[in-house]
Amino acid sequence: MISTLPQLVDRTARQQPERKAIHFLQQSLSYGQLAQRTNCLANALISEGVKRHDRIGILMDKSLHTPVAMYGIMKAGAAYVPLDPSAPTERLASILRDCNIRVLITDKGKIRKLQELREHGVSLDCLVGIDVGDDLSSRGMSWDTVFTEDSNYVAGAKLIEKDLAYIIYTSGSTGIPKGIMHTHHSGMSFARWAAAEYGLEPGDRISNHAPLHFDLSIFDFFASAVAGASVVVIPEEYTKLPPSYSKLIADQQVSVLFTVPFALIQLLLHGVLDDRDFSALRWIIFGGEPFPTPHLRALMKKLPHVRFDNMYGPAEVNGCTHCTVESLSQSDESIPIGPINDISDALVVNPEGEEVASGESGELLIRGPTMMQGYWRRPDLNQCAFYRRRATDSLDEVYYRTGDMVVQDPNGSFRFLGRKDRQIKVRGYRVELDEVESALASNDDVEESAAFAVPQKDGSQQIQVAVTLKDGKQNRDSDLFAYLKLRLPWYALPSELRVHEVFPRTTTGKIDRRKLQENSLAGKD
Amino acid sequence: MDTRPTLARFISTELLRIDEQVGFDENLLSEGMVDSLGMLRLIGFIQQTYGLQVPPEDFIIENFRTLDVLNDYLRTSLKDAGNE
Repeated sequence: MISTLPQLVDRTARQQPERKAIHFLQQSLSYGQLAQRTNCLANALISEGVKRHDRIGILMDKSLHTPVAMYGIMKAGAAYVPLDPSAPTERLASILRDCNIRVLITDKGKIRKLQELREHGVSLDCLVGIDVGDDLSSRGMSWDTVFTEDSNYVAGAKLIEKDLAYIIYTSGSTGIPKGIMHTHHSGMSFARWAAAEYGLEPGDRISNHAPLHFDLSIFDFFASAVAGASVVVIPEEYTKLPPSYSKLIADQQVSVLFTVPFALIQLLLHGVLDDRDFSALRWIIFGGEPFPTPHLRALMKKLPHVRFDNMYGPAEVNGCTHCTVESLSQSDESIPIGPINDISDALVVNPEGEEVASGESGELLIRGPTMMQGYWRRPDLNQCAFYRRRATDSLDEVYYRTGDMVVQDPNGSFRFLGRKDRQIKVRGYRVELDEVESALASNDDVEESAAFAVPQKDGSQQIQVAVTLKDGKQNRDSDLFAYLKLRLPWYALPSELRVHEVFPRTTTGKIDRRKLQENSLAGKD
Repeated sequence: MDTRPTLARFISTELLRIDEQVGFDENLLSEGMVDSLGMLRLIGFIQQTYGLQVPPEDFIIENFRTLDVLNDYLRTSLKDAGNE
C-alpha cells in the first residue's frame, strides 16, 4: 500500500523504469532515473546528519534537479520548504530561522543571495548543488558528488503518512509569513483525488508553471506521479514572454495545463495561439483567482477542443471544489467554483458561526483529508484558523475557515463573492493589505499608511498605497518604494505610492480607504 | 546605434524602480526581474522611442533575454526597416 509521496515515483520506477517522469526543455528524466537520483540525494542528506522530521529548504531556479530535490528531501524523512528566490533577503531569513533550516538545495545563481542571507545572520551547515568556497562558511556538495551515493535504496528513514512532507509559506497579515504544513497523507489525498477526477493517464504530459513555493505545484508534481504521467517543467523566463510560452506548450505536447487566469489571459492576448499546434492539449485548469468571463469566453473559442476547469482551494486545504466550464452564457456573470469534492465536507456560516440557509451568503468552511496539519509553530493562528464543531458521536469535527465568502446555488455549486478580510489576489498570490501597511508603518518617517486595492479593467486588482509623513520629513515616493522592496515579495509591491499631506477620514476618525480608492479610480490624487 | 543605455535606464527607473542600472548582460527574465506586464511596457517604449513595431512572433526569449541580445535584434530590425 502506497502511503507516502516518494513511493509514487518508486512504484512506477519498478514497473516501468523507462517511462518519462520529467521534461525540462531538451532534457528529461525517466522514472527509473528519478528514483535513483532521489535515493542518492536522500543518502547524501542522511550522511550530512539530516534526520526524520527535519526541514530542508529549496532555493533554486527550476531545472531537472527540482523534482530530485523535492522527492530526495522527503525520502530522507524530512519536509521540503520551497523558497521564493526573488523574495527580499529579510523575508527569506525569517523563514529559514522560523523552521530552523540547516541544509539548503540551491544553485550557482543564488550565491549572492546566500551571501546576503549570511549577512542577515543566517548560518547554514550544508549547501547542496554548488561547490562553495570559504566565503559562505557552509559545506558545499555538488550534484556530481551527490550522484556518487548509493542509488539502489535509502539507508534508514522510514516514512509514515503522518510525517510532514512540505511546508509552504504564505503572507501573514502581521508581516510574518506563515508556514502551511502538509503531511504525506494530506498531499497524497489531494493528488489521488485530482488524478482520478481529471482522469489523468500515464500518457499525459502535465505542465508545471507555478514555482514550488506556489501551491499549484502540488497538483503538477504529485497528481502526475499518481497517474505515472510526466511533468513538463516550464522555466520561469518562458512564463514572461507569451509567444515563447505558447511555443513550449505546443512543442512539448502538454496535455494538461494548470495555471492562473493571469497567465492564460497573457497567452490569449499575446501568445500567437493561432500559429501553434495545441492538438495534444485536453485540459486547461485554472485557479488562484477568478477568471474574468469575457477573456475566458475568448480563450474557449480559440481552443474549442480543450476542456476548461476552475479549481478552487486555499493552500491550507488544497483544491477542494472544481467546476468544468461546459459553456458560457452571454452574460458576464462570474463562473462558479463548483461543489465540494466527494472526499471533503463544506459548511457555510454567518459571523456567529451558525450555518446559513441555502442561498444565503457566508464564510466557507472546509473539512477533509486534504487539509493541512496547521501552521508551523503558530498556535495563535491555529486557534483562529480552525473551527471545531461537536459532531453527534461527541467527536469534534475540525473545519478550516477559508475567509472566503460564498453563496451556494441550488445545485450545490458555490459562488465566490469576495473575502471576509482584506486579503486580495495578485496573479494568484495572496496579498494581505494589512501586511503592506505594516511594512510601511515600520519606516521611521511614516506617520500613517493605507493600502487599498483598485480593480482594473481586465478584472485584476492593483495595489495602491498612500502615506503621510511625520513632521519635517520629506521622503520621495521612490525612497519609500525602495524601502518596501526590501520587505515585501514582488507581487505585494504597490503599483502606485503617493505621499499625502492629510488623509480623508471617516466619521469615526479612521482613514477612509474607500475614499482613497474612489479618488484613484476617478483619477484624482 | 546603441539602444542599451536608453533601455537600461527605462528598465531601472520605470520597471524595476531601482537606483542602480541594469547590466547589459543581466538576464532580464530571471525571477524577480522584469515581469510579463513589464515586458509589454518595454515593447511599448521601444515602439515609442524607435518607431519600431515588434511583431508578436519576435517577442521571444531569444530576442529579449538581455539588453545585449535585444540590442542586436533591434539593430537588425531597424536596418531592415531602413531607419539606419
